[in-house]
Amino acid sequence: MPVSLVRIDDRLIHGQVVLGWARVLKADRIVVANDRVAGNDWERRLYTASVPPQLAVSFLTIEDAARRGLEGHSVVLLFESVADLHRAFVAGAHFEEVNVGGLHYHEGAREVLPFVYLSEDDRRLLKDLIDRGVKLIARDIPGNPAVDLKPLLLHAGTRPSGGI
Amino acid sequence: MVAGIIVTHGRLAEELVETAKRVYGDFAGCHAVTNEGKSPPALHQEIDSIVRSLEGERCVVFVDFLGGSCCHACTRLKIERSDIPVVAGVNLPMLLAFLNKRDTVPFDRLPAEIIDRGLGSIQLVDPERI
Repeated sequence: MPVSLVRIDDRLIHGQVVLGWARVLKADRIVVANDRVAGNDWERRLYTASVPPQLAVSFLTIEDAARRGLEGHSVVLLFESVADLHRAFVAGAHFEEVNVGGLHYHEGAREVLPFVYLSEDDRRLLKDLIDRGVKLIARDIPGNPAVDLKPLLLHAGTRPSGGI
Repeated sequence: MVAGIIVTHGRLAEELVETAKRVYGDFAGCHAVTNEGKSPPALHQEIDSIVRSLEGERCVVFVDFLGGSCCHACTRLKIERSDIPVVAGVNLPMLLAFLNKRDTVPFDRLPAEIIDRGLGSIQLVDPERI
């Protein structure tokens, strides 16, 4: 699945994605891979309302996103959680690089970066992705520095010195 | 008194309330909420707990724009509490109109009146027509 950006962001479509990434990458489509939203009419309408008309939006289940080819499109592919992205990967979607764009505080999670909080389960799944050759880059918007998550995952809970 | 809950990105809500106080004079019953650093469930929970703290007092929810994580949380509230009006596109004239009218205009007409003021404040300024 050749996509411009694969991103984990608990807010899915919002300003950073539309005005930050999709604009800079000149994407022509945003794909939301999320089982709940794919089956929820008002959430689909609301997410669509925040996207300018020249940008197409699709809502797929995790399984469909893993299976469906998106060739020929410049796509921003969004997942809500580490678990969702990991499920897609295991189901056959192979990503070389994943942008970790926003995972705010959730149950049992600890701060890794101001916009990245990870639980033990998140860490385990992310380490598994690293073992499978995926590069994990934390970056909220294109203008900010890219932070490699790998060393941060190996040294639990610490922030990079002189980093972001 | 009708309460206001203003939900925005960054410090906009807080500054709208503070700035309105400079124009209108001091007032109570307006709650500023930011989405900064909050997951969607956390933002929804914060708004929900403000609504609960009102203990049945009526309120109007304002959000900065249609779409986005703030509006998402407010739409979720609207689905759960259809009696609470949610107005997107809040600006300073709209908030001032709310302060001015909340205790005099009937609650069911309040959203339309403040939207009218908010929209009416957006104009191309023409010195000939002021």
